[in-house]
Amino acid sequence: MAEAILKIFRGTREGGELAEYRVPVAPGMVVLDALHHVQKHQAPDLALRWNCKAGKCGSCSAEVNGRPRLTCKTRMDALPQDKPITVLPMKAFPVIKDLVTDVSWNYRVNKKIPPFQPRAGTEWKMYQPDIDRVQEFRKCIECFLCQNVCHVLREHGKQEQFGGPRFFVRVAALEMDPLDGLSRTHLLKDQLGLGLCNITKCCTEVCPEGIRITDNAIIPLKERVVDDFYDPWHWLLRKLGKKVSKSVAEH
Amino acid sequence: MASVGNAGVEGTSGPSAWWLQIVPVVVGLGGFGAYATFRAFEGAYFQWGPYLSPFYSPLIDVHHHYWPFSPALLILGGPLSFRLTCYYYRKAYYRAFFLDPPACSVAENPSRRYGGETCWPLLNGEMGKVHTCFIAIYRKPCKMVGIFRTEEDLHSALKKIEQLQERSEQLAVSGSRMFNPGWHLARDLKSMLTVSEAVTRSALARRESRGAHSRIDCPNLDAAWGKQNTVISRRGRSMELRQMPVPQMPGDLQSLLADEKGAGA
Repeated sequence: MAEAILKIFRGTREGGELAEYRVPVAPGMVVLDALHHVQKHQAPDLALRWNCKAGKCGSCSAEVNGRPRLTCKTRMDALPQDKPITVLPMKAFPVIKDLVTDVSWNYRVNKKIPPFQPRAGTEWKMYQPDIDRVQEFRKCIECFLCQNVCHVLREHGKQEQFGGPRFFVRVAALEMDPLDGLSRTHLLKDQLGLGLCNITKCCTEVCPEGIRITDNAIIPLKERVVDDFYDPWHWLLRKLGKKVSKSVAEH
Repeated sequence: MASVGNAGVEGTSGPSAWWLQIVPVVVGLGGFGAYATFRAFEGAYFQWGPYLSPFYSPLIDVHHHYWPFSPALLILGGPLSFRLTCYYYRKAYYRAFFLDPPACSVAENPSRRYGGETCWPLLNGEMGKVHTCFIAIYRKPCKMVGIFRTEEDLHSALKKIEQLQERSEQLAVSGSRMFNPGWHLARDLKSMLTVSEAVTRSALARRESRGAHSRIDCPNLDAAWGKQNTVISRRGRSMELRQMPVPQMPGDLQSLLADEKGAGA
């Protein structure tokens, strides 16, 4: 049977190193299987998160040969066989142990987003295209690979100013819902730092659910922010609109 | 919070040969940009026969009455601003020419300031050992106390379980308790061995085949076993098996079941 060499990060926040393990490769094997093999036979204390083994729970995110991926959806035969396979924890989040990282920052960002709020007197009916548009964003499994790969968080450490692609997807789902009555453009501009995104599309490249994060969520949101804060034509119309409604109210 | 994670570990610098992705952009787009800039400022050789260079189309003040520079500069501002503000192209510009990021999950210069598209003109983008033991339990009795069972296999499984019980006395866990599945296993092992033994002993006693219990050496259903359960209790360090009659089904359930049978027939 063919054998693969895995180089897995072993360590904690204080530091660590790559440890080497040899694993027999079976047909159809994925990296998560290889990690489980290591855990079963060589390192019972190897820490890793996993749950469904089917690319739906979003737990087994790691960096395989330097690419952020779900280990359960990364086939061993898709990787170069002649070189060791490196498996590292996500870089943008603090390591707890081995491949397990502390992703709690994401949950704090999530709390900033006001949830769905229906318009007053909403008729609870939606057209299919509206449903399809929002449905794409609902596919998110919160694996946080997009957050991990985004260079604003990963390289520039803007966790305090920036929400990250995952939460732009969530805001997009709410903003594009025709039954929702709230505007979240202030939040996007000031608290989630949408402007820090320079649309280099790495989030879209790593999304295991194939959500077109940049094209379908981030860019339309950027346009909404522009409409509300930077577009001189919209600004003028709003001014005029206010005056008109004021004079209507006075008469 | 700066990037912490796996920083500083060898081999973390992202996918190898990432620069292959940006080389065509730098060479192709960069080369075109340099050539186009030169031709735009040149202000000459823009007509050949009936053909007019798109950089100079339409012709504006070619004789320099009002505009002393190349007429292309008056025209190119339009398409250029379209190109610069195009969402699609900006990915190529930022990656290939600003290296911000050069490619996905590739390390950048940490000392560089980053403002994204928040400032003019970009303004928000409109701008141990436990496991060998565990495997033994998991594999060996699983092979012997599977769905298809024979007396001989069950006896050897029982022997194996006894050996494992002896070995489990020397159980040790390596590593810290944090996210350590070995530690959980060490806690569970005693119960797992107890259950394995109970299952094997019951399977030995039940000399018939029923449901998921298939004794290859006793292939037939025995009506007597349908009326009794096996109850296992501890006596000292060993297990004691007793057969107890199956409790009588309550009257209301019985009638329900009779109804269902009647309906199905």
